[in-house]
Amino acid sequence: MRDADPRTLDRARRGDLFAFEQLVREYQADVYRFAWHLTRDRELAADVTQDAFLRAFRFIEGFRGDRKFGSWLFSITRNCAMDSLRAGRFPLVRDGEREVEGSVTDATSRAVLDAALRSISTEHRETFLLVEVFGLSYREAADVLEVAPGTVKSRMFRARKALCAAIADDEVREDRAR
Amino acid sequence: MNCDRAQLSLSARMDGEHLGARREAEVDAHIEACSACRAFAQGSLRVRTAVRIRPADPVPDLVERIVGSLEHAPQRERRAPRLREVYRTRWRRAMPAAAALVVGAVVGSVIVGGPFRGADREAISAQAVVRGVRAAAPGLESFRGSFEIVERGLSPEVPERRLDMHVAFLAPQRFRLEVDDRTEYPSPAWTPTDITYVEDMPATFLSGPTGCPSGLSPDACPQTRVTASTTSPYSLAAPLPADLVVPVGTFRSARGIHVLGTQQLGDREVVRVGSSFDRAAPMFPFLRLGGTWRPFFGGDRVEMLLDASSWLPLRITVFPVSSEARRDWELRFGMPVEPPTAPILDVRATSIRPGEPDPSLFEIPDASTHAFDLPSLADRIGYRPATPTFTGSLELETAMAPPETAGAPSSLLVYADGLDYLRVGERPGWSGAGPFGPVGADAVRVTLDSGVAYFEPPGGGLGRRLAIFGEDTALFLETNLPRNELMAIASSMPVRGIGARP
Repeated sequence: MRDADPRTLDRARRGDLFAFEQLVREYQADVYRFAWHLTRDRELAADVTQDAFLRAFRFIEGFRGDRKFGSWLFSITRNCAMDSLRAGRFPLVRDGEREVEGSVTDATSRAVLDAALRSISTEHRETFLLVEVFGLSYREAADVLEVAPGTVKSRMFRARKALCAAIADDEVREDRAR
Repeated sequence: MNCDRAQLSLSARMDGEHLGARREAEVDAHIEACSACRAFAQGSLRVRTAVRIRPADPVPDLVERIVGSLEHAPQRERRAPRLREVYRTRWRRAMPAAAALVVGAVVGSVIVGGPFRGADREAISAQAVVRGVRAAAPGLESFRGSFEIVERGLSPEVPERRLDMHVAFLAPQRFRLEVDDRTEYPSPAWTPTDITYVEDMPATFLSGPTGCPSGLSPDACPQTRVTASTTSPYSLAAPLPADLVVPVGTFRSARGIHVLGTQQLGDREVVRVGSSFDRAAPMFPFLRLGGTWRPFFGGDRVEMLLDASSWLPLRITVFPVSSEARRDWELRFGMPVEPPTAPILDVRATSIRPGEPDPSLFEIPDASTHAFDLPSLADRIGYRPATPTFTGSLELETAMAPPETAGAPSSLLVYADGLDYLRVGERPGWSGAGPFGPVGADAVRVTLDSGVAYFEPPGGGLGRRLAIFGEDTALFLETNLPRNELMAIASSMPVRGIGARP
């Protein structure tokens, strides 16, 4: 994951709203996607994204710069998503559940991948997303998830194993359907 | 090595983790011999490919929503200095040198055709520019800068004019604007547009040639069109040159403002903003001070370059808009058709000088502003003027008794902080029709914490205005502060608004 421009970051730390807006612009897509994967709901993901940036704004003065800004922001996003889900804000119908209806013809299609991602546990999914999708190193992902790097390593392995199995099962189902 | 251990290592290797030469060799040897682990490797690669080539999910643009909510972040305000305080400190400390650097860079870029060419980075929002300008305004204590004005299309005899403009500001609310016309005119019948304007709120002084009506040749101008000086001890017009220091009037709201992009200039950031000529009118105060100027169509296109830290306007350029309405306007005024790509007015910052301007620059000849401290003013006018208990960072700078004229207040208080100002006028026993002071009959009735008032948005050379009718007195407030701040101040006035008199 790319890091924020240090001058922009420094200005934002000193309370420059203009600089902070540049950070919002730069990171909003990643934060929203991560939030969407955690909540599976667009509206909730938008709320979580907003909350995450609000929280980041409040605490950016204390951001020490000893880790990537993106990793720090993802930690906040994850906490916001968890808070939101803990507070009972579960969507009635999650977005992915609407999308996977109907037949699947390509085993690696988006719908199959989404279904496979949904089938694995939250802790495996968020680890997989941080490392595989957002490109964080094990150490950075460990920072976000507040676990040891070794835990990230083992979760990645288990996530891959589960995803491979889910996709393989889908292929078998497709073959039988033909 | 068992399968779980081999696959764990394989997975880590895919993620860029180093296994060490010995472990690498063990993993490779295991996979070679194990079909289940080969299937895991292939499956993991397929998942990676699927993840990386899948189209990006649509992402809503949440910038406005997020940045809008930041302004109400109470915890940060409690924990850290208010944003405005931060801006103010930085500005006061860094503005002159920083602005001079930016001006130097802009002048350089114009000469060598440099960094303004090329693609713009992603634009910031107009609201962010408004917020930046707003935050910079109260922090400014002084300014001394020069601009070059190039005007094209005044007449066939004078296709291009070049004028120097010098602007000075000294808190509280003292401005000086000088225009020095360097144009070589074809005949002595042309009067150079040399102007001196001084403002020491609320008094003003103007010296310059009276204008020649648009479309009239200079020879046809009346002989009285000579340099004239006018002193006014009491004017309610918004400070004219303020937008050449920080464009507080133009960026009073984001409506009609378009951010065209941002550009890095050394370690400084410059924002390119567009609007119509009418919308950017406060950026051209010199056009309202007499002399001879070409006409401009209200819808003409204006491009502004602003330093993203100090918000100093570095360059303001007007282009003819390409529209049917402008063609009609050109016909009506007998103007030639002007191509939309050729600038007709270009105002460019050429230097910023450090240090405070000499206070004597702002002295107004023959001005008697009747300025007092509050108790002395109360003694003179026979009542103690109503004062707000909350004024934010503004401080009372002037208490005066304006000359007796119809509709004028009998007391006027001027509060200021940097470029921010608030005027409070009062007239006890006022019984005129409609709202009091510079507030029109179309003003909107609003509710304050203490009764009702009548609000009018900025326009016509005035800031935001509010009229309050009390039981036995009438007040108006006029300011360049945002509406919510004006409302907060008005709510702290010790006068309960009872609504308009019939």
